[in-house]
Amino acid sequence: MPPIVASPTAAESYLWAIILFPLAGAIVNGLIGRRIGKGNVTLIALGAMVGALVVSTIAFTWALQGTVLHFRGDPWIRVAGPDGRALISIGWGLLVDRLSGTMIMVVTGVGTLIHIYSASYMSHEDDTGYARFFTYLNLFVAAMLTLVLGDTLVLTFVGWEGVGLCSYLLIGFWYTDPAKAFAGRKAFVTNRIGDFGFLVGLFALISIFGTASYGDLQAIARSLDPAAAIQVGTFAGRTYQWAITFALLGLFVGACGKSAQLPLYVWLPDAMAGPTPVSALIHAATMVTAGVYLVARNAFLFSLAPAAMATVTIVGALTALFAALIAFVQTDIKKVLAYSTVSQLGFMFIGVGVGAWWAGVLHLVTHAFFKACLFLGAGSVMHGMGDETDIRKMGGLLKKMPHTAATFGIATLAITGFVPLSGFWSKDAILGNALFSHNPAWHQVGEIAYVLGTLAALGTAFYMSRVFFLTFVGKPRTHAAEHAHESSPVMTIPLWILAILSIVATVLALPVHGQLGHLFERFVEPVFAAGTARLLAVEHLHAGEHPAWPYFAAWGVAALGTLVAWTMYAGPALEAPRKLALAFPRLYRFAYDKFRVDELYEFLVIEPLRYLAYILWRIVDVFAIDGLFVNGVARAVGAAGSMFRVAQNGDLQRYAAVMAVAAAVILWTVLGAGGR
Amino acid sequence: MNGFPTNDFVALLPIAILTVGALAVLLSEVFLVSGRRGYQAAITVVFAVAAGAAAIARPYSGYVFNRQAVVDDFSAFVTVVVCAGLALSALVGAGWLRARNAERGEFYGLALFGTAGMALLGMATDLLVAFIAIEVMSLATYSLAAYLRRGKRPSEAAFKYLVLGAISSALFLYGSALLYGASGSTLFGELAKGRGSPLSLAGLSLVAAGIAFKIAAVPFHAWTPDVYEGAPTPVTAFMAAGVKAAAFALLARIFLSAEAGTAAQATAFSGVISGLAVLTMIFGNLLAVPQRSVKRMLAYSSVAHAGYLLVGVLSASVAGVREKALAGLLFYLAVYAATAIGAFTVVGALERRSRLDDEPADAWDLERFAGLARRRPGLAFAMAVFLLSLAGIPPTAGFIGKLYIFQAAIGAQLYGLAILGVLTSAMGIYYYLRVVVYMYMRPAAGEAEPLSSAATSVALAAAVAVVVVLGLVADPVIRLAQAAGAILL
Amino acid sequence: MLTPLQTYFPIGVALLVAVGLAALMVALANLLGPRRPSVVKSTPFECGSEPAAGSPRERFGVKFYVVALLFIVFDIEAIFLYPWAVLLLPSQGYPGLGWAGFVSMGIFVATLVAGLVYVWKKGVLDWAD
Repeated sequence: MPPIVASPTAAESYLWAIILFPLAGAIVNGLIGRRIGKGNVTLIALGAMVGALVVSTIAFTWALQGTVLHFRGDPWIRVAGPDGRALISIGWGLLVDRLSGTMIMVVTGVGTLIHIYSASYMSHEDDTGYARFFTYLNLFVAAMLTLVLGDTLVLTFVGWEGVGLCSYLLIGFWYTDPAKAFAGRKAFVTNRIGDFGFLVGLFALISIFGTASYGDLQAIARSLDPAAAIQVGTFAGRTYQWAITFALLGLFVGACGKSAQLPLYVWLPDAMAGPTPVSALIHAATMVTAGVYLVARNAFLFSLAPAAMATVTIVGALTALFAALIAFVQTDIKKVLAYSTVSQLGFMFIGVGVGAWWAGVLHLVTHAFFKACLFLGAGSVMHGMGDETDIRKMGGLLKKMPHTAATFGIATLAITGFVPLSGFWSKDAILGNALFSHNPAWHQVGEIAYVLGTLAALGTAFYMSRVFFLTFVGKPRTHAAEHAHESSPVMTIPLWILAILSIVATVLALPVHGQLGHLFERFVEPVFAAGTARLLAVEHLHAGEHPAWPYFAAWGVAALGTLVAWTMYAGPALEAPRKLALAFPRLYRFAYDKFRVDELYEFLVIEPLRYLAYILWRIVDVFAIDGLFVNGVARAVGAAGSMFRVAQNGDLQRYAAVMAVAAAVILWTVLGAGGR
Repeated sequence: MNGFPTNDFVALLPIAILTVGALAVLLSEVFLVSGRRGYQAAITVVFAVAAGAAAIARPYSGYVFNRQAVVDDFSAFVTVVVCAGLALSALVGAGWLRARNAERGEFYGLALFGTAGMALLGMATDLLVAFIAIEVMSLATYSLAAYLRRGKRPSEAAFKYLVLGAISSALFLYGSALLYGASGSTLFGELAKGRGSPLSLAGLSLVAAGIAFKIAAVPFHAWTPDVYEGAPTPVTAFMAAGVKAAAFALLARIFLSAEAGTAAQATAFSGVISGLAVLTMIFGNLLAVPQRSVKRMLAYSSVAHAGYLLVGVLSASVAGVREKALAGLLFYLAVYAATAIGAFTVVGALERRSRLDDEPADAWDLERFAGLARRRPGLAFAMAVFLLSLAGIPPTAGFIGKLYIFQAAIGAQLYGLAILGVLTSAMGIYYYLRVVVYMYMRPAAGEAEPLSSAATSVALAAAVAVVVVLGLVADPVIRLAQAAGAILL
Repeated sequence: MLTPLQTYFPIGVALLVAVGLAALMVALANLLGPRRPSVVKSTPFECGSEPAAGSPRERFGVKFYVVALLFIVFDIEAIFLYPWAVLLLPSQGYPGLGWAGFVSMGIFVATLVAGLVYVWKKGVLDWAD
C-alpha cells in the first residue's frame, strides 16, 4: 500500500491527532454527553474512533514502507541527572515503527468495532450512564494509544496508568453493585503492585543510562558490553548485565500486573464484572497485552539479560498451564474466557521470553481478533438470554442465534489452533521457537516452556470446545435458552468482521516465498533487529530452518482436545463430566474454586494488611491525627475564636475604647523605642 | 497673573466624570416622572466605565496642584479598580434593591461620590488632600450603610461606622498636625525630613492608626463585622472592594514616602505596620472561624485579607523587592475587589427577607447555603470560585495574589510574616470550605428560591471571569501592576 | 529660628488667657453677687416660655437637623466666598487667584446649586408636611 500522506514529515506532525481524537471525544462526552442524547454521544465517540483509525492508517502506510515516523515533542520533564550527570530530558515524542504501528491498528481497529457493538449493547443504559460509558471507553483508547505511541518509557507509563484508571472505572461501571465496585478496586490495587515494579524498573533504567527514551536506550544498548562494570550512580560497581536484569525484572513485575500473569493474575477474572464490550476491548484485546508490548518494545534490553528472559518465559509458561486448568471447570462463560485470556497471555510471554518477539506480537494480534470475537459473542449470547452467563443453562443456541454461533465457532477454532486459522500459526510459532531456543542463563527453560505450553494448548482446545458445545450444541436446557433471540446486526456485523479477521490474519504467518521465516517475522524484523542480532551472537537463537514436527504435534494436540470435549459434552460420553466430578470431588472443588488463590492472598496479604490498617486507623488516624491534630487544632482555634468574640459584643463605647487604647499603645511603643 | 493650570484640571478628569455622574443621577431622581429606575444603574455603569477609561487614557501624568496630588500608573490602577468595583456594585445593587422596592437615585449618587473620593485618595500626595479624599469617601459610605434607614440593623451599623469613623478621622488629623509640626509641610515628599523626631514618629503612628481603621486592621477592626453585616449587602460589597483598595493605596504612598531611603524594617514606623499585620492576620482568621453567619464570616475574612496586604506594603519598603511587592499588592487589591463583590452578591441573593428592611439574625446563616449546588448550580459554582480564591487555592487569582505577596515578603527577608501569612491562610481554608461543604454536600433546607436578576448575573459572571482568568493568565495584569509600582514616588 | 513647637506658643498664651478670663468671671460672680433664691427663679424656662412637658428625651422632627445641615453648608460657602472675593484679583504685588480660582469657585458653586435643586425638589425646604 503506498503512503497516503505524501511526506513523512507531514505524517509525523499529525501523529498527535491519533491520541487527540479519542481524548477530545472523551472530553466532549464527559462534559455535555448526558445532555445531548444517546445518538449524539454515539456519533461523537464513534467519530473520534474513526478519526483515530484513519490517522493511524495513514501512519501505518508509512510503517509498511519501512519508514519510522518519529514526532520529536517538546521537552516535558527536564531534571539534572543523578550524581551530577548530564541533563535528563523527557519529551512528548511519539514513535510509529512497525511494532507500534501494528499495535495502533489493532487498538483503533478493534476499538472501532467494539464502539459500534457497544452502541447497541449499552442501549439499555440511561443517558447519563450511556455517556459515561463512552467517555470512559474513548478515554481508555486515548490512554492505550499514548502507551503504545510514546517514545519514552515515561510516556508509556503515563498511558499505562491511564488505561489502569479506565479499566478500574469500567469494571466498576455498575458501581451500585458492591461486588462489581469491589472487582474494580481489586483490579486497581493489583495493578498498583505491578505499577510499583514498573516504576522501580523505570527509575533503575534512568539511573543506569540517564535516559528513558527508547531510541537513546537502543543506541546505547547496541554497543554495550554487558559484562562491563558501571562507574557511577546507584549501581556503581555492578555489571551492566546485573543492573539491566534488575531493571527489567522490575518492568516485568509491571507487565505481570497489567497482563495478568502469575502471581498477579487474580484481578482479570473478576474484571468480567464490567460490561462485556469492556471485557472484549480492555481485558482481552488491548490493555492486557500492554505487558507483552512492553517486553517486545524493550527487546534490545532483554537480549542483554538472559536471566530476565528466562523469568519471562517460565512465568508465561506456568501461567498458560495454570489458567487453562482453572478454565476446565468454570461454568460462567465470561470466566472461562477470562482464564483463557490469562492463559493466552502466558503464551505471548513465552514467545517474547524466548526471543521470538515477532511470534509473541503475532499472537497478540491474532488473539486480539479471536478473543474480542469470543467476548462479543458471549455478550451477544448474554444479550439474547437475559444476561445469563452460566453455560450449564444454555444449549442449542445454534439455531436461535446462527450468526453468533457461527462466529463463535470460527473464533473457537482459531484459539484452539486448527489449521489454517490464525491461532494455529501464532501459537505454534511460539512453541516451536521455545523448543529450539537456548537461553544461556537457564538452558532447559525453552524445553520446559514447550512442554508446559503444549499441555496448556491441549487444555485450551478442551475447554474452548467445551464452552462451544455446551452453549450452542445439544438441546436447550432452560426456558431462557429456548426463547433466546439473535442480536441486532449492529452487534453481529462486528462479530463477523472479527471472525473474518481471525481467518485472514493467517496471511500474516504465511512463509515468505524464497525467504526464511514468516511474513510477519520479516515485517517486524527491523524493530527487533538489535535484540535478535545479540541473541544470535550468544547462540540463544540460531538461524536456519526448524524441523516441522512441532507444528504437526500442535495440530494433533488441538484435535485431541476438541475430540475429548466433543465426547464429553456433545457426543457419546455425556455423563462423563458428572462422573469425573463425583470421582474426584475434592480435585473438582479445588479447581472450581480457582485453586483457592484468592483465599490464599486473602489470608497471606489482605488480612494482615487489613489488620494493620485497622490499627493505623484507630490509633494513628482517629486518635493521633484526627483527635490531636485535626480536631484538636480545629477545636483550639474554635475556642480561641469564641474567646475573642467576647470582645466583639457590638458595644460602640467599647469599640471606641479599644481604638483609643490601641492608638495609645502604639504611641507608647514607638516613642519608647526612642525614634530609631 | 500666572498661566491657567490646565494640567491640574485635566488630572482630575476621572473624578470630575464620577462627580458629574453622581449629580446627574441625583437630579434625575428628583425630576423623575415614572417609577422606573432601571436606567440609573446603567448611568452609573456608563460613568464608572468612562472614568476608568479616562484614568487609562491619562491625558496628563505627573504632579499637580503644587505636588499635592500625582497622576501616575499607580493612581490609574487604583482608579480603574475602584471604578470597576463601582460598576459591579451598581449592577449588584440594581437587582438587590429592586427586589426590596428600594431602588433610588441616591444609592447610585452616593456610590459615585464615594468612588470619586477613592480615586482622589489614590492620587493624593498631601495629608490634607488625603484627608479630604478620605472624608468624601467615608461620608458617602456612612450614608450608604444607612441606606435602608427603616431597618434597625442598617441604622445601627451606620451609626457605629459614623462615630468610630469620626474618631479615626480625628486620629488621622491629629497625626497630620504632628507631622506638619515635625517637617513643616503636609506633602508626602517632605515627610522624610522630620524622621526620627518623636513628633514625626507620633504623627506617623496616629496617621497609620487612622488608615488602619479604614482598611480594617486589628485592633481598629471592631466596627467591621457589625457594619459589614448590618449594611445592605451591595453596600458591603462596595465598601469591601473600594474603601480597602483606596485606603491601601494611601497607606502605601505614605509608608514608602516616610521610609524613603531608610534601612528596611529598622524603623519604629515599620514596627507599627508589622505589628498591625501580625495581629490582623491572626485575629482576622481566628475570629472568622466560629461565625455561622456567612456575611459576618466574610467581614472577618476582609479583616484577615487586610493583614496579608499589610505584609505586601511592608515588603515594598525594601528596594529590591518593591516592584514585586507593589505589583502583588495592586493585583491582590484588584482580585479581592472582584472576589469580595462576588461573594457578597451571592450572600445577598440568598439572604432571608422580612417585611421591613430589617434582617433576622439568621438571614445569612450557613444553613441557607445548604444544597445550593442542587437548587442553583451556577450560583453555587460562582460562590465556590470566590471562596477558593479567598482561601488562596490555585488556579484562582487569589492564589496568585497571595503567592506574589508572600514571595515579596520572603524577598524582603520578612520570613516570620511570610510564615505567619501562610499558616493563617491555611486556617482560612477551614471556614471558606465549610461554606462549600454546605453548598455541595448538605441536603437543601427547602428554602425559597434565591434572588435572581439579569444585572446580578452579569456582575457575578464578570467577577467569576476576573477570578478565573486572572488565576490562569495573571501575567498581563501583573505586568501592569508592576509598571504601576515601579514609578510610584 | 523657632522650632515648630515654639511657633505654637502664642496660641498657648491665647488659650490660657481665654480660660483664665472665663474662670475669673465665674469666680467673681460667685464671690461678689448676692444670692436670694425664689420659686419663680428656680423654675426652668426656655426662650421666655415654659419648656414642653414630658421627658427631655422626647423625639422631634428630623427636619430640624436637615435644615441645620443645609444652613451649615451654605454658611461655609459664604465663608469661602469672602476670602476668595478678596484674593481673586491681583493687588499690591499679590498675583491673585486668576482664572484658576474663578473656575474652581465656579465648580464649587455649581455643585452647591445642583445640591440646592436636589433638596428643593426633594421637598426639604417645604416645612409644612
